[in-house]
Amino acid sequence: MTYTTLDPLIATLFAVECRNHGQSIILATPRGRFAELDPSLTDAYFRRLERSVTLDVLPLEFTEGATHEVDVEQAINFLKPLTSDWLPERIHGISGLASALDEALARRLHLPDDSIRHFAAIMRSRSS
Amino acid sequence: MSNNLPTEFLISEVVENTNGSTSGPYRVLIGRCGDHPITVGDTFHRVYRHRPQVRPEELATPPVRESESGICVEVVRIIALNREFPILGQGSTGSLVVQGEGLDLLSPHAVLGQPLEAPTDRSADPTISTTNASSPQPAIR
Repeated sequence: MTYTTLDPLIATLFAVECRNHGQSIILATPRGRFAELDPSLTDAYFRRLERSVTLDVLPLEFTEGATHEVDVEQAINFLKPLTSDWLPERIHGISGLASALDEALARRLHLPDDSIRHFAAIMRSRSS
Repeated sequence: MSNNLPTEFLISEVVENTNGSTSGPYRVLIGRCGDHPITVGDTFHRVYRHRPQVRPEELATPPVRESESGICVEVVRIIALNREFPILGQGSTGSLVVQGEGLDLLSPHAVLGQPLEAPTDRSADPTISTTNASSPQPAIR
């Protein structure tokens, strides 16, 4: 299974934490390309909090099937103007990631659909 | 980096009653595994909260524990995606079914973890002890 999100800001926060382990990129694909797993009690909670969607594929299969990718630095530069410059460039571990997700929620920073479409357009232009 | 980080479970919600097969007092904790995997049978001895980190630069620094209490709860089941698993990977979300002492201390935004410094009692080790506090080399008995 592969955990994904519908929100580029959430994906970027995860990617920032992943910088602790090396180069970090964000992969994307049109919704519907992979089968989605039915949410459990846990998934329903995080679906609401993080707009998470769990796909019925291995991460490697998702990587091979992704249609677009963007470097985390590019994602940060795009998102900062939309988040009033609130966007960490480094996050200390999973506990820091959880704090960042909570803070993004508290600040109501989840992106509206038109911003998500704009982000997708940027990804397409970077990938072409 | 993760080798220096503690084994933790970050609680998002606590569910007291579900249609599970666990007998006796227990709690179902919905949340996220920290920087190390959690396995069925693991025991947590501390519950605490992290001081809120709000500014972006704060998020780059280690969290500070607050309101730390001693507990002793064992992970008896791990559930995710309507299935049971023997292990919850680092960073993954899921539910832990836990039993033991201190269940009432488990609440949303609390963190399950361990003492910051492990006990240094080596009396159970029959072969190695330090000769004195200033000696850098252990003595072999």
